[in-house]
Amino acid sequence: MLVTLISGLAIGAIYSLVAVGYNLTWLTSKAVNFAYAAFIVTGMFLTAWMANLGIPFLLIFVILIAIGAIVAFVEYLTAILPLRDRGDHAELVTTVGVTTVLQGLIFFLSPDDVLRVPFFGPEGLIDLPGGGRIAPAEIVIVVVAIIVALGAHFWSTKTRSGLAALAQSEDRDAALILGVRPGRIAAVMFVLSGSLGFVLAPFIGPITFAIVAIAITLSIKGFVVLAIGGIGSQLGALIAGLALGVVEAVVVTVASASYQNLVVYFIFIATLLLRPQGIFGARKERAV
Amino acid sequence: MSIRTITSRRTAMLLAPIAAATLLLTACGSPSTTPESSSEGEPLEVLIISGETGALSVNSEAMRLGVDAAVASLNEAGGVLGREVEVTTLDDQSDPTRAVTLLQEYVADNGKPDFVAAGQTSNEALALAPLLTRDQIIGMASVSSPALDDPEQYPYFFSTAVKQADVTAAAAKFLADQGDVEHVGLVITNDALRDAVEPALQTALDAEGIELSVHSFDPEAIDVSSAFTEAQAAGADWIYAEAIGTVVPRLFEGRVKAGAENIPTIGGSGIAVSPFTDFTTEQQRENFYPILYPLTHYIAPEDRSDALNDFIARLGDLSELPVTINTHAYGWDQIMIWANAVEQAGTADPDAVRDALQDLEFSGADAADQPWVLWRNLFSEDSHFPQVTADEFAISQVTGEREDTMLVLKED
Repeated sequence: MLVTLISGLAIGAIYSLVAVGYNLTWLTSKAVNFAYAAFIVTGMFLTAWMANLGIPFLLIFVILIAIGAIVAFVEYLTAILPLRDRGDHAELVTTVGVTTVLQGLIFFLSPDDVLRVPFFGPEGLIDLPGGGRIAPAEIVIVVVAIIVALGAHFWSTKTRSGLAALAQSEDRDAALILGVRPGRIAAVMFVLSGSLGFVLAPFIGPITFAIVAIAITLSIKGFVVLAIGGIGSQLGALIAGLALGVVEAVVVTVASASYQNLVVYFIFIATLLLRPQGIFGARKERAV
Repeated sequence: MSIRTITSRRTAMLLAPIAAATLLLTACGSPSTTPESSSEGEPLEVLIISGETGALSVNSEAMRLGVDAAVASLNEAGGVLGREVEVTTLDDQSDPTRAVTLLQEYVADNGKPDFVAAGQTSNEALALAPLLTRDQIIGMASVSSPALDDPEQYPYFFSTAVKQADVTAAAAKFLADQGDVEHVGLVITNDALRDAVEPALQTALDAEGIELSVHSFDPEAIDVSSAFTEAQAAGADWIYAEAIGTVVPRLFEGRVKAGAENIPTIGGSGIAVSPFTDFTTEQQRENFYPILYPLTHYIAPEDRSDALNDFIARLGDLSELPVTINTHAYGWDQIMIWANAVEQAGTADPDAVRDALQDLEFSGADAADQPWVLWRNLFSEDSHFPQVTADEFAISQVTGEREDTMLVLKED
């Protein structure tokens, strides 16, 4: 059962990281960037290609940060900025379009549908007491998810820049009066979240492999975690993601793989019905 | 209103439905109104309908290379019945609806082709087979849907792929030959593949007195180790693992993660035809026995037939090929089998060619004498699928190395 728990936490950590990415752009520009999972997958392929060329991992991380920033900025200019202030959440469609473009680009550039992403840390498996094995990458991803989620939570609630970012997304006019530059903050956060997405790839890729189709799976599961945890809550994203991963793993082990998605979407629907703002989300009154 | 007007109107009302029905019947294009196929002295026309673009484009290109190699070989030898073979390719993007439209348009514009390569997927072939029947056109595809093995409904359609029953029968015989196998655990994706493999494997293992337990996993699951853990807990002596596509690497990871690499594992055909040696480690391939089709495992040049040597020579630089030559061989075989039937029948008439295909002179002959390179025994009146025997598969561990794109078997 220990291996089930750890494997579940690792998968859940991946879901949490996607949800944290969604929250970063939601909190600062009220836009959910559905291309975030595609950023991670694109980063996986880049990591695999660069590692195969013998590029040191430290340099790979730097290159991923740079490419992520550029891709996210282009996305912001083309898929988010033109739709700002329209209030109809059209970026839900345009960011899915960005996902399609990135997937097409990978298909075009890569002759392989699947690539092994080498882990920058120790390879091999760790034997657990009582049987079963885990990969070091699974432990690392859980730690990374905790650090990233807590870091994002701390930034958005305790730092000046984080509070300014929240403020401008809540009330642009008030933020302007107080000297906050909303457009710049939103753009910077998009760029930073893009870099984060790409740089997470070397942590996630060794567990999932670089597979184009997995972008959709991560997008959907990340959104489910976002809804369960509460949109805007980084702690909610972390806890909901880890919990969901463990639930999936336990259901598969105790019951059957046939029930895995059934249970997940049951929890999702139950949350929407009973607590639509999510477990850690804040209920908002609708202004008359 | 005058009587003449009333009469004209009444006449029009009577004639209108008759005119409409006539137009409708004409538009349907009954076989008797379909343009005829090529005649004596004219080139034989081969039409390839496949997904040149889209998800299956790599496989489509491979098959096309095989077809081109076969056509070049035939034309250099003087053609078929002295007639040159010409190839036209149409891109259906692996869409069955588009495939049907393309064939109908081609027939309307050019007349019936002498042979149609009817797509790469069962969906395409299932959509095209009724048209082949209606228009009496010989067609082939490398697809395994049992619904297509119906000579009564699809008398002009033939498949060069094997059925799941043949694959599992070979696996069951291999397991029985081990002497001490009592229980096999099937580890497989929980989807249509399971629906196809499970009953076939159950039947095959029942015949050998071997018990089967099934342990499925979600094809989109990131961690599939639990299925192997279940198989271990159920007491499986051997595991039969099967999956298709991008879940295959995770299946190998899951096997080692569950500590199941000590349980000998047969890899089903879906795994065996994937480039699994490209993304697995030696530890992951330990005790792993893929079911290898002809030309996926290495055949030394001295053991190759003349047809195989001709085929390989015409493919050019094998290191440039992204997939094994097994995929190209399906294209080669479709053309060579059809051409052989035309020669045997002495005509390209579809009924005569169909009869020849059902009773090919070289079917069942020694591989050295056959102009095709994959399966030895082909079609009959009762089945338009190859009649494959267990010894045509190789079930063996592999070294991870490839020669001429073919896997090198590990010596026992």
